[in-house]
Amino acid sequence: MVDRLSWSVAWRGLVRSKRLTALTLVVLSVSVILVIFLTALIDGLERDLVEETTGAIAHVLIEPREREPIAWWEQAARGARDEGPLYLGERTTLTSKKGAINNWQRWSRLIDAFGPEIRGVSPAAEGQGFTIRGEKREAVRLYGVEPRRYDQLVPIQDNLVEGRFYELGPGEITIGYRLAETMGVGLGDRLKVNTAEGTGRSMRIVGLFDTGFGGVDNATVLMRLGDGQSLLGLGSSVNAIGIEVENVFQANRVAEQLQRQIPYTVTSWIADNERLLRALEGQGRSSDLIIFFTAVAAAFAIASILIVLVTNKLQEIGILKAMGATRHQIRAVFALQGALLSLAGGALGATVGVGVVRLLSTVQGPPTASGRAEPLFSFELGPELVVGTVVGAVLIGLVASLVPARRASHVNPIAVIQNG
Amino acid sequence: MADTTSPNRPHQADVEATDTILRLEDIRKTYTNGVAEEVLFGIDLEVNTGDFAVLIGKSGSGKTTLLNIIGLLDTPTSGRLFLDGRETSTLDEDERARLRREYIGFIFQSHLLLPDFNVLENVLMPCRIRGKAYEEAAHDRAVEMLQMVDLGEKIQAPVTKLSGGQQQRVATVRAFANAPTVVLADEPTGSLDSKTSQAVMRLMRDINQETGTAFLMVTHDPELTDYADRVIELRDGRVASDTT
Ligand SMILES: Nc1ncnc2c1ncn2[C@@H]1O[C@H](COP(=O)(O)OP(=O)(O)O)[C@@H](O)[C@H]1O
Ligand SMILES: [Mg+2]
Repeated sequence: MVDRLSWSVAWRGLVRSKRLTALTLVVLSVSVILVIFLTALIDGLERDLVEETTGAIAHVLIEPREREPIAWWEQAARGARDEGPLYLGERTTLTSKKGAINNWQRWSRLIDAFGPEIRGVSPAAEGQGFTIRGEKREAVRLYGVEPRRYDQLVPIQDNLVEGRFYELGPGEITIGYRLAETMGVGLGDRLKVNTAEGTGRSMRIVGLFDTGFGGVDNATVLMRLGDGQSLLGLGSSVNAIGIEVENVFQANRVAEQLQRQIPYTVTSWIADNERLLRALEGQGRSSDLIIFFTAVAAAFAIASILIVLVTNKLQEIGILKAMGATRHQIRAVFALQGALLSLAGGALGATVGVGVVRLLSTVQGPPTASGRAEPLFSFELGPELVVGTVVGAVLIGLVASLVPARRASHVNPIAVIQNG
Repeated sequence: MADTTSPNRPHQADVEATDTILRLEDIRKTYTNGVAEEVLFGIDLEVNTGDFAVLIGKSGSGKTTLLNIIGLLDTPTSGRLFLDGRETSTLDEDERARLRREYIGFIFQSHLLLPDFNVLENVLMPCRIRGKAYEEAAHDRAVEMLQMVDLGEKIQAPVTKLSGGQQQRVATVRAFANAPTVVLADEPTGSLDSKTSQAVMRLMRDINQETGTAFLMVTHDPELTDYADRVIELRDGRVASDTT
């Protein structure tokens, strides 16, 4: 394919045209740096946004089906999530019936065995409520959970500021540190925990956590599953099963598959976050555009430099052809130059690009209220990105060399030899 | 690539001395860019192994045109050209390129060396074009020939560092590196002083006598025709005389 002649002429040509070679390498590596940097930044942003959105919620949530009789004029509202619609009849008597997944152990086991897509399953007795201390009253979300299972959905144990979570005992709660601040309480203090319906219980704070998710840290009260069940009047039932999936973008598929087997409402976080996902898609498209235009610019840069290389070499091409070099051999010279330039430029750019990203990753932003230090830039830089960019650069180099290589292969030796 | 002969093909001296390696039958050439200009009016010519022929004629008489056609760099408008018994008019560009590297050595008016390569690499370039095996097979002989022309010390030198005479000697050695059947030279001494011209001529003559390689050389210089054993004169696109 590429013989010694093409190799040696291509290589010598590049080595001899040091300025042009250096210029091409700069253009190419800058393009590669740009692509790597921007993609890592945008991917990082996307990862953060998704993490921000999905980090503190169940990716897939199983809730009891709406079973209350509702008025005919409200039929249209059916299927909407049951966040406090106005139902006919006595709400209080319906509540315990409504919010129940009775045989939850069975469903939990089924989901556990579903497959490797499932990372965690956490049954919960949850509901709206208040924490009350003296005059202070804060609206909160109450969760009766099995701590180790819940921890797979929202990382509490690793984010404890003080105290404990895994070993919650009866009558004990672990709450967000911001909630504790607003309530003016600390570890060991007692706090009155009321449900929306008014049942209440005095509980002891044994742990404070700082997950970094605002909504979690300032309005969450975690207790044992049994405590939650009795506080919310669920008996031995739960009213939610939260699921953590391996790949958050697969949540819809998992939800659909589970829905076929489980007689309750299965929803994925994606259904509730269409806008976010559309925004991410738009962001992805704009980063594709940036990469596309960078690639086009780099291709033109290589092509024009190769055309100059060809023009400088017209006489030598003529000599080689007169001595019997075929069009293929001449084309190979310039295709090889394109490939070598783009491979070297790509490798150089990738090295510098990865270095820049690594360096900027170590820059810390201002610490959060709880003293948590977070990096200023958050990049997502995988080997696929680096390898893909270098491969892309080489392909661009090859494509860009097509026209100059063709032009070189069509040189008429008579014309250039007589000019000499 | 598609070469049929081995890199160790014997020099033509081993073959019978009266072999016709080139035969031209009624070769005509008309240039047709803008106005049609007829340059060659039917050339009939044979070149044999061992020939050391000189092509003379006034400027514009068509010598270069004829040499380019013989060298398969250009195609005749009509007529037939046989190279080693093979008719060449139907061949495409790459097939002609392969014949060129197998049969023909060129010496151009100005040396036309490749500036990116050193002396030995330039000499071996026609072999490199044919393939690695040819380059390796020709290596020792190339060094030997460079020593013959007093360039033994310079084989690794960049050609750009050589004098004009040295460069033309490199170009001459290059034309023989691949053991061609015929060497074509268009005013090879045109840019050299008389003393260097004589040296280059002697080198060509030596190689011709040693290897039997046929030689067809265009020159204006009547002094140089003394070296030739055959003088072909071109006048107005025809062979006016052909004396041995
Ligand atoms: N590429 C060409 N296009 C048109 N006319 C040409 C071309 N090459 C040579 N000629 C013409 O052909 C004639 C012969 O030229 P040439 O073969 O170079 O003669 P010589 O080498 O004997 O001086 C000249 O009149 C020249 O103008
Ligand atoms: Mg001429």
